Amino acid sequence: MMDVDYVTQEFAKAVIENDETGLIPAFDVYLTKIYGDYYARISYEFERLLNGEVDDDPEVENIAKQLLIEAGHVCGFNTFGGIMKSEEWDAVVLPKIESQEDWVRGMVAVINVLGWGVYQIEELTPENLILTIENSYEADTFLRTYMDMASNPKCYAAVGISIALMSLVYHADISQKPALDEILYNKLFKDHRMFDGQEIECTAMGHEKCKIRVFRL
Amino acid sequence: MSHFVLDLNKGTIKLGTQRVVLHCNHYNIFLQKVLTDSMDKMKDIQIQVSYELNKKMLEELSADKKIACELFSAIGLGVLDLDSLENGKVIVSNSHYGFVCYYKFGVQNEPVCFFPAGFIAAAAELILGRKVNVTETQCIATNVEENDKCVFEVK
Repeated sequence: MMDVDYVTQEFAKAVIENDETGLIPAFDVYLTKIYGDYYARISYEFERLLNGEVDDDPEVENIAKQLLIEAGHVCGFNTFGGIMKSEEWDAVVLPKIESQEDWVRGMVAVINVLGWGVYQIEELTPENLILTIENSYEADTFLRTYMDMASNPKCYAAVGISIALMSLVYHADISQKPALDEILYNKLFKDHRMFDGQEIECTAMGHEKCKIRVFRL
Repeated sequence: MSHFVLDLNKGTIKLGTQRVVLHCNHYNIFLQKVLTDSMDKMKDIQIQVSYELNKKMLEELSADKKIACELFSAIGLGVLDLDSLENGKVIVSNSHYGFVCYYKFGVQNEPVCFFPAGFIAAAAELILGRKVNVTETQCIATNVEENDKCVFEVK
């Protein structure tokens, strides 16, 4: 069984800092360490403004949410894909992998060094993933900014990256290190999409933890 | 700048009292572009939110020019040059947002460094001791062959 604590601890040792160019190259992407409040506030302002431009049109509300979730797809596809194809992954995680599910477990263990909150797997099969999140930065920002409970779940990026994770492992077969290009992205999230997901509990709504369910279509 | 503190029990990375998260260039520019293309006013909102959060952080750090420039790079935004701030000019080399926008979406019609603009507004206000207006007058993303730096006018 994958030792997720070991994976988290090892990746926590990675030196992720800017170089002389002022950029942070890592895992074949460029990372930033921007305030979680920034991402969440601009996302919620966008949602609030877009919803305010039409009178309670559920289709418009859904557009804002789907765009923000798609941003999560882009994040997960590129960041997780880069991590799971990296030398660091090969050194630390690959030797521990005994099943395709261990790819998901290993990547969730790495997520926990990104500052997004504490992610844990509650249920995992090739068809379903249920993740819980404590201290989700998205829900945390919502509660502090708006000082009120949300009427709907608010962890849009988390939903998107969770869908991306299952798609990379079970649809793209990231173990074969495919090119993370536009063709693969469209296959996973558009033309031949295999997974979808939703947040079923959210601390911004008053739940104890955030909970995301990803399921095979 | 080694003040980022990772707490694995809470799943947080803190810089002072503020929580930071690791995100990649793809997410950064996709989110910015989606918001801005959907609603014009989102450009100003992104700059304003960046200004507010960076002002809070720079105040916590009692930032001077050196600390502001260090923070800018530590966040991963590029290299900030405040040497000509008093003359109304700030330069960013290797702008994260400028470069990634160009390489992902091609040549842009307008400057795209919204988060850096807010950062510069906050830094300039603290250093000069007065409120400022910041306008990006030159951006890598609008002409990568001629513009090797992003330039901001500070008034």
